Amino acid sequence: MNGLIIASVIINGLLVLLLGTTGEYPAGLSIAMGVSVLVSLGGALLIAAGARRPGAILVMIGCALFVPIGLIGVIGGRRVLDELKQEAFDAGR
Amino acid sequence: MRQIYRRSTGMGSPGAQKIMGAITTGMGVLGSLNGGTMGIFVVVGILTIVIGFWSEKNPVIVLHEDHLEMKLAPATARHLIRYRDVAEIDNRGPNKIFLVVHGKKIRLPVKVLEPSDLQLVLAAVRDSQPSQPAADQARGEQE
Repeated sequence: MNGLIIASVIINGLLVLLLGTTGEYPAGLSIAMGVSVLVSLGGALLIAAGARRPGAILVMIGCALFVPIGLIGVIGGRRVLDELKQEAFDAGR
Repeated sequence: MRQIYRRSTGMGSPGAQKIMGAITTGMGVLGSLNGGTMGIFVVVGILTIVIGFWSEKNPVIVLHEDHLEMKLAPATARHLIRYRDVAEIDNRGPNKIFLVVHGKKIRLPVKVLEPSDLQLVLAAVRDSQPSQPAADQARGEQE
């Protein structure tokens, strides 16, 4: 797993905590963002467990709601998918 | 191996991206100082600057001996294309050139490349295509 994914999950988690504690935003938004963080966290755990493709896709989906700052996680997930593509390409030679 | 970078002029160049990022960040900072909620501008501006640096450092296309790899932006997919898998170069206009690979069309980033670099890419693909009689012979041997 790359550092971008870890950084993104931490940043997104902190954002949810920040939004949740201010009370200025509707509860639905905080819940949706919280679920997104859980999805990306689940993806990160899947990558760590070896299921890199589904994990990377989950990370990208979970971070999409946080764009532009979520772009960090999207780039991290894309990097994992690119690595898998490169491995499959090299194996097919 | 030959690395081909973005063209250094025009709106898509790394320099232009950095300038646009700096302007957006400046707008965000000024807006926030004046009591507005323009933090999003700061984030978008900084990301644009980072992407500008990324574009400067990373080639758009890398020509290898038997394949090319193409990546336009940090969040886009990397294309890995074997020259021998390119069935056709579909030229549909000055800005629309596709490589047909396994029936799928992959668009070449014509606008971000220098014309000489584009010719280099097309030459690399064309030169590694088997001539028609040789391709027919290879097909016949396989059958």
